[in-house]
Amino acid sequence: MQATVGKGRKFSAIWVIPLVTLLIGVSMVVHTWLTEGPTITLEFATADGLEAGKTKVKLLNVEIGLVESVSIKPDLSAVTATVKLDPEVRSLLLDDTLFWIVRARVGAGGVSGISTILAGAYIEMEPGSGSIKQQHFVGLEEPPLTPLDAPGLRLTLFSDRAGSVSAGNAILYRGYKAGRIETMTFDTELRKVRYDIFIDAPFHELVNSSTRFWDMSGVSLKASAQGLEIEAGSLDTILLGGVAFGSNPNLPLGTAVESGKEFKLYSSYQKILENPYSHGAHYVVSFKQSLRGLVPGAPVEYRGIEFGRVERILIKELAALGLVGTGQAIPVLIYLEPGRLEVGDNPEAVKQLQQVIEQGVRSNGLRATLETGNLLTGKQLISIDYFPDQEDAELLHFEQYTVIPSIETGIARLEQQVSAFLEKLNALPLEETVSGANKVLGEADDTLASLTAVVNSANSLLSNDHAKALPAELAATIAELRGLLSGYAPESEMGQSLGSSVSTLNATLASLDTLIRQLSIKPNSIIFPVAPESDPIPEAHPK
Amino acid sequence: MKSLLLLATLFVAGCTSSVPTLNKYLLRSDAAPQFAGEPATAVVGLGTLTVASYIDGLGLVLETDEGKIREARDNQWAEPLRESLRSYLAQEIAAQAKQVIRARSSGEIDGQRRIDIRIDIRIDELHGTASGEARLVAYWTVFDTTERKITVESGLVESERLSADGYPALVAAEKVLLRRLAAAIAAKL
Repeated sequence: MQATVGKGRKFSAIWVIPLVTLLIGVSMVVHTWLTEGPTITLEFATADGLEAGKTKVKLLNVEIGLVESVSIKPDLSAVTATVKLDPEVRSLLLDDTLFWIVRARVGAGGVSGISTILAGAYIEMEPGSGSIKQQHFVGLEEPPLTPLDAPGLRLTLFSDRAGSVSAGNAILYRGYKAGRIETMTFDTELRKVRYDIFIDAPFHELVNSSTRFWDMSGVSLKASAQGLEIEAGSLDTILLGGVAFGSNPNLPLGTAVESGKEFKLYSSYQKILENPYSHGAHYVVSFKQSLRGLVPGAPVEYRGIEFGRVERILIKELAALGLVGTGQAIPVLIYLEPGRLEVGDNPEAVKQLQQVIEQGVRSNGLRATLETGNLLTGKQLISIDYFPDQEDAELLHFEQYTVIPSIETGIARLEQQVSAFLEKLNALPLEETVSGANKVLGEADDTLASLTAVVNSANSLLSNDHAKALPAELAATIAELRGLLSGYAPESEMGQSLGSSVSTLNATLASLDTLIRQLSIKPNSIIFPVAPESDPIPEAHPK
Repeated sequence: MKSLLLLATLFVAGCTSSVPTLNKYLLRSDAAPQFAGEPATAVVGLGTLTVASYIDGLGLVLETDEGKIREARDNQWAEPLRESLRSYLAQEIAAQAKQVIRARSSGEIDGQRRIDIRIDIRIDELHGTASGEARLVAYWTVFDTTERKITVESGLVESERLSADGYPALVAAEKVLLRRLAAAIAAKL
C-alpha cells in the first residue's frame, strides 16, 4: 500500500494566537503613544525646590505635569529637569513659553509663594504665543513681574550708579504707581547699570521722547538761605526705592515711543532741570593760551547763548602721546547740545549741528576762542563764532573726537589786529592824503572860531546860579549817603538783624549737622527713632 | 498691604517710646523798666552783643566734666541768648545807672539824636559747671561815638552757686551773674 503524500496546511491555526497578541500589543503601544503627554526638559541654575516624582508643574494653578528626574549637566553649569506633561498642553509648548520655580520669596516687589512653604515648590508655566514648537526650555530664575502680553511699554533705563533702585521697585507718575522695574543688570560694555522696566497701560501713553526718569528713593535734604527743604516720595519709595517719570517743563512735547526705547535714569529731578537735553556731540578744542579758570562744566557759547559745556581737559591723553611740555596746544573736550539752540533734541538735530560745524570750519571761518566769563573770579568760557577773516580750514581729529580749530584772543589777538592795522596803514596813499590835508587845514580856522564860541557859552552856563548850587547839593547828597551807610553799620539795626539771621542759619546748619551725624551712624533712625538720652541735671553742691 | 504693615510697625514703635517734656526758660529782667528818665547829657545804647558759639543754640549748656559740655535738649531758652541778652542787659544797666539805655541803635540820621555812648559786649562763657555753679565770663567796652574812641574796656569773670538741683536753679544763678555784669557796666558809665 502506497502512502499518499498530500500538501500540508500552509498556516496552522495555532499562529492566530501570537498574531492576535501582537496586534493587541501594537494597539496598546499606539494608544499609549497617542494618549501620553509630551516629555520636556527644563534647565535651571540650581535644583533648589525640585524633587523627582514630587515637584508638580502647574498652569493657572492646575496641575499639568510632574518632574520625573533631575540631573546635573555634564559641564556642571546647571541642572536639567525632565518633566512629563499632560497631553492637553502639547500645543502650548512654543519657543516663547516660560517656566519658573515658584518658591517663597520676600523682596522689594512683595512677598509671594507663601503656600509653597508647606506644600513645596512647584514649576509654573506661562504659555507662549510663538510659532515654533519646542521641547527644551531654559527656566527663569525669577518669576516674570509682568505677563509678556500685558498692555504697556517695555523700556530700558541706564544709570551711572545703582543707587537704591532695584528690581521690583515701583515706577511712579505723579506719585501714582504706573509700572515696575523688572530686571536690574550691569552692562559691562557700557559700564552702566541697566534697568528693564514696564509701564502699564494706560500710563504708557504718557511716555514720549521728552520724558525723563529720575531716582526718587530716600529723603532729599537741601539747606539754603531760604531754609531747609525736605523732599520725599511715598513711604514705599523711601524704604524700598523707586523711579518717577514725567516731562521736563523746559522741553517741548516729544514724539511717541515704542517698546525697547532707552532712557537715562537721572539721580534726581533737580539734575533733569540742570541738564534737560539727552542728545549731543563731543568735540575737542585745542588752546595754546593759559587755561587758568577753565573748569569742567564751564559753558560753551555761541554769541552769548550757552549750547554746551566743557567736559574735561585732555591732559592725560596728551601725556599718553608724549606731547606734554612740547609747546603743543592743550586739547579740551567739550559737549555740544543742539537742543539748547532750539533745533531739536534728537539724533537728527545732532547730525545737523555736526554738518553746520563742518561747513562752518571749512568755508565760513567758524572758530573757537577762549574768553573771560567773569573778571572777578577769572572763570573762562569757550565761545564758538564765525570769523570771516579766517582762512578755510580742515577738521582734524584728536583721539576719536573731531577738533574745532581755535584762534587766540586777548593780547595775542590784539597783536594780530595791530599788525593787520599797520599793514593797512602802510598801504595807504599818504602823500596824496597830506596834500588833501593842507586844504582841510585852511578850513580849520573857521572851525576854531566856532569852538571859541562854544567855550564862551560853557563859561556863561557855569556862572549860572543853578550851576553854583551844585556843590551844596552834592554835600547834602554825601551827608544823606553817610546817614544811609550808618544804617548798614555792624551796630545798626540792619547789621544786627543781618547778624541774627546769619546766626540763625548757622544754628540751623549745626542742627542739620547733628541730624546727618545721627543718620550716618544709624540710617534707619529717621523711621525708628533712637531712645532719647535725658538731659544731665545740674546739681547744687553744698558749700 | 506692605504699606499697612510698615505703618503698623511704625505705629507700634512710636507707641513704645515716651516723649520727654520740653521746658523753656524766658530771660527777662525783674528790674523796673526805664521807659523815660531824666534827659541825659549823652544817649547811651547797646552796640554789638555777641555770644560764644557754644551757647548760641537754644539749649542750656552744662559742663559735665572738665572740658566736656552738654547742650540740654529738653531744657531750652525761650529765645536765642543773643536776642534776650540785649533786652535783659539794657534793662538791668538802665535800672542800675538810672537812665534810659537803648537796646538797639537804629542808624539815626540828621534830625534825630544818634547814640553818643555805645556799649559793646561779648559773652565768652555762660553755663553751669560740674561743681554746682553757674559761670559767666564777659568782656565789654564803652565807645564814645563823638570822639570815636574807647573810653572804658573791662571784663568780668564770676561764678554763682546753684541754690538747688535742676535747670530752674541754673537759670536763676545765670540771671544773678548777668545782673552783676550790668552793675559793673553801669558803674563805669
